[in-house]
Formats: sequence, C-alpha cells, structure tokens
Amino acid sequence: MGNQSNYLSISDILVTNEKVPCKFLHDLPKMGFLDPASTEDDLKTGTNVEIPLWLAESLYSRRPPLVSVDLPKIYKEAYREILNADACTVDLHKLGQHFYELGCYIAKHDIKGEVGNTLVNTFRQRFRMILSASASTDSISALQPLSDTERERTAGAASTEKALSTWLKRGDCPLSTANMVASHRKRKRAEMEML
Amino acid sequence: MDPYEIEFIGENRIVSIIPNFSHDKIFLICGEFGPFRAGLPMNVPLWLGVMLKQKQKCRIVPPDWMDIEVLENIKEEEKRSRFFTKMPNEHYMVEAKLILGAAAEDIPRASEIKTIIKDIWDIRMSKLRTSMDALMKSGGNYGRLDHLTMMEINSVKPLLPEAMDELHRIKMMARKTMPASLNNSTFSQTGGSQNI
Amino acid sequence: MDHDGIELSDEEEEITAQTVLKTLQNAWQNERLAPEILPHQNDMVECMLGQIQHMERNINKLPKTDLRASIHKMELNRIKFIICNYLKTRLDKIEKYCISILNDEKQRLESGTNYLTHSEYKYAQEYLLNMESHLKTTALNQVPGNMQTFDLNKLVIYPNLQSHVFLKANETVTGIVLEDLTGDQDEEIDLEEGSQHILQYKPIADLVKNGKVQLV
Repeated sequence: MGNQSNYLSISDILVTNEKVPCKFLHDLPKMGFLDPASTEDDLKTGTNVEIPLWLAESLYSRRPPLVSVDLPKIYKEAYREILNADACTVDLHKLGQHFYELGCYIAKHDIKGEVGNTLVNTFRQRFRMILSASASTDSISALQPLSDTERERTAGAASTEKALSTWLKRGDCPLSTANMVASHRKRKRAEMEML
Repeated sequence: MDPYEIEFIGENRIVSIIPNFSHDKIFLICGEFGPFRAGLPMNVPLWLGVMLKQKQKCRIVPPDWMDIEVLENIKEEEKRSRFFTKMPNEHYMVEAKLILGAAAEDIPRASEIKTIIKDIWDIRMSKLRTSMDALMKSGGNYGRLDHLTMMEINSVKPLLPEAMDELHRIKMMARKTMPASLNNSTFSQTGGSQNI
Repeated sequence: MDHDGIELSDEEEEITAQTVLKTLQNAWQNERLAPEILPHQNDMVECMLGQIQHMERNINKLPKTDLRASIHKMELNRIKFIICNYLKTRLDKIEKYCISILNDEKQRLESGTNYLTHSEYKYAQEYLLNMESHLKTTALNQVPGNMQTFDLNKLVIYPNLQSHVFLKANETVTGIVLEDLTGDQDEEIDLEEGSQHILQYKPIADLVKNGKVQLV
C-alpha cells in the first residue's frame, strides 16, 4: 500500500487528475473547449480555467510556459494560517482529499515557498487524529475529517489492531485487549468469578 | 507481520518442563534435547513444551517471572517510569499466552497472573501511543525503542513507519521548494504518470 | 538420527544444522522486513532442504505412533514454513521491483556479487518478458500505431530505501548519520549492542546485509 508515485499507481493517477486553477499566458487556437464558460473556438490569453494537474504540468513545463499555475484554495494563505494554528480542526475530506499528495506537486508553484512547511506541520499535528481514529469506537465520525491517505493509514492501523486482538482472544487463554473501561469491567467480573 | 508469525518466532524460546516419561536424547535440527527422565525438569523449545503438554506428556515449569510478586513489581515500575521498562523476556506475551493457554493448571494463581500480565500489556500499549505521537511531533525521523518486545513493535506497524515515510517525502519536497532553492525543474525528477 | 555436522559442498566447511537454521531464520525475518531484496542464502536453503529430506526418510522408518516421529515432523513443518515463506517473500519482491532488480543485478553479476540465485534471475527475466507481452497484447496493439511506442523504463518501480524500519543491534555500531532535511544539522547516532531503533533503512542497509543488525 505504498503511496510512492509510480506509473501504474492508481492513487497517483487520481492525484494528478485533480483540477488546479491555471491562467493561460498565450492565445491558443482551437482550444476554447477547455473553458466551459466560453463559446469561442480559441482560448484567449489571460483566461482562468481549472484543468487537471497532469495537463497543467505539461503546459507549464513548455518553454515558454503556456500557463501559470495558481494554488487551490486549501493551500492559500488564509487556509495555511488555519492549518498552522490548529490543523486538527480542518475537514480535509471536504477541502482536500489528496491534501498531502497534491500539495507535494503543487508546492513549487507557491512563490513564498510556505506550502511545504504547512504540509509538514499539518501532517505532524494530525497524526494524533489517525491514532485516535484507529482506536475509536465511533470510527465513522472520527474518520470523517480525514484525507484519503489518512483514512488509508487509519484502516491499516485498525487492521493491525484487529489482528492483534484476534490473536489475544484466540486459544485457551484469551488475553483480550480493550479500552480502559472495558478492561475495568472485565476485571470486576474476573474477581467475581474467583470468589 | 501477522501476530501468529511473531508467536511462531517466540515459540523457539527455551522453557523448562517435567516429563512424565523417559526417553533418550532427541536430536532435533534446532539442537539436542534430553534425555527425558520422568519427574526431572529439562529444557525444550516452547513449541515442543506446548506440544508435549497437549499430549499430556509433561508439566510445564512456570518461568521465574510468572510469579505474582515479580509481576506486581514490573507493573509498578512500568506505571512509574516514563520509559518502557525491561520485560522479563523478549516474548513475554507469547510465552504467557501459550503457557497459560496450554498449561494453566501448572501455573500457581494462573488467573491472577493472566490479569496482571494483561495490565502490564495495557499500560505499555497506552504508553506506546503517547510515544508515537511525541515521536512524530519531535522530528519524526528517528526513535529509540529499547525494551519494546517484538509483538509490541509489530503493533505499531504499518502506522508508525509509514507515517515517518510520508513525513520524509513531504520534507524532501518542502526542502526543494524553500524560497532559497526555488527552481522549476523539481517536477521532472519524480518520473511517472505526469510525463504524458 | 544424529547429525552433528553438515558439510557445505564447496568449502568443506563444517557447520551445525543448528547454525544453518538460525541463519535461515534471521534471513527470513530480514527479508520480510527489508524494503529491498537481500543477498540470497542459497547455500543455507539447499543445505537445509537436504537435511529435511534426510530426516524425512528416517522418520518414515519409525512406527507411526512413535512420539519422536511426531516431534520431528512438527519441527520439519516449522522449518518448511520458514523456507517457503522466505522464498515466496523474495519472489514477491522480484515481481514488484522486477525491472530495477534486473538492472541492479546485471551490474552485480559482473562483479560476482549477485543477490539472486540463478533460478530467481531466470524467473525475473521471464516475468518481465511476460509482463511486457501482456501489456502489448491487451493494450498497446489495440491503439493507433503512432501511440504504440512503449518505454519500459517508465514502469520501473524502485524499493523505497528511505522507508523506516525497526532494528535491533547485534553488535555496537557507531556513527550512523541521520540526514536532517529541515535544518542542516545532520545527526549522528550510535547503535549499542542490544539496543532497538526505528530509522531509515538506507543508512543501515549494509549493516543488515553483514549481520550487524537484525530487523524486527
């Protein structure tokens, strides 16, 4: 389940398919269809259009570049401030399903070079959300604000947890692990059995 | 790894049994064991001890540490210390589970022992969660984990190493895009689906 | 059923079956936990397979109800599990990182430091050929001719040597450098004998291969 980018990686394909805001720097004949708001054949200089990252990157890497790439709003200053203050309050599922992955691609279009640091801070802060979501009994609401990879990671942790508790419970000597409350209750029962 | 694989590895530990039969030395690939003398304690690998116990061919001698007083001390120490304390052996959970499972009647106060081992495990697991969070906050590229047993280490996989991998990737990228080293050629280095 | 020493064919070197087993066990554990494929242990595998065959012949001579027979069988099953799982783990890696492993292996073959056994190498080459022809027949041949060019190098998947692993030091190793990505203060750590750490695989890859550390 590696998230490394590679040619046949579905998740990487999904990330590079995300749309990013671009501004066209030249007139492009016959490319008007790229702008859903336009009825003309040609695409005019200065038009702002959201296009998939893979396309944006190949237009951007031309010499001279055909587009300039803008940051999607979750990476802009307003959100960066919120994320740096308390990243755990942000619903990344809603605002950036591929927050970290897309962020890694998009960071170089940030003139101030701050997106990178925001990604690092956000990741560090939100690690505890994964920790608690993987142990949570109310997993649905704990999972809700997590990005795609955060959810994947939570699922991975939860399945480890499950394998471990199955192992502990199996056999002639169940050593079941649960949260504090449950083990407390169990203790009482165990004591009563011994009386 | 699956917990059963760790159990499998832990089953190579040597335990003491008292056989109820006599037999010459037995030459296994993992070493020679015996001779078996009815009523006299001897050492065998845990898997063999459990197997003989299941065939009712022996009693298992409780390991030194499977004792209420020893375990109470370990538990107190574990509660008191900020760090992980050294466990009586590297596979204490596997040994406890297998021995208490197959030979509870050979262990005095088995159910109390079970409870207290479970307590120690729980204390350590909750410490482990706190340390993981601290590790990620403090730097997230290195951690020292003395005294954690293999089963405990396995319980944080794949979460901890993968989170550290991801953080590393993000940091690599962040370093490339710092204003000082801003350049436009970073994209082509990753290779992959964007080269369309 | 005595077998204190086993002779390793070429070198006439005597090692005990116990040592061979221990080596295989560690190799299996490392192979399971290392991101890249490790140097093969074919001598050990062959030696142990021979040992197993020998034991099985002897077990068959014992009466079915003999306690010894069931103990030996149990042990042999355990060892077979290790060997199968070890070889399967290597094949999984060979399939996943096929192209990069083959590229590296070609260079290693020149210097005689190959990681794959002869049959693993053959398997890797055939696997790659099959994958290529599969992609061609199912997809490429169906698209217009000018789009059929195909660069296999784009499919290369590298094992992530930057991934983090858990290890236990078998002996003290000093001066492992941990790269600091955010500041410019690289950190140096020592691995004391018996200590355990989580860190990147890359700076300790050689220590896994020469047995100074064990992955856990």
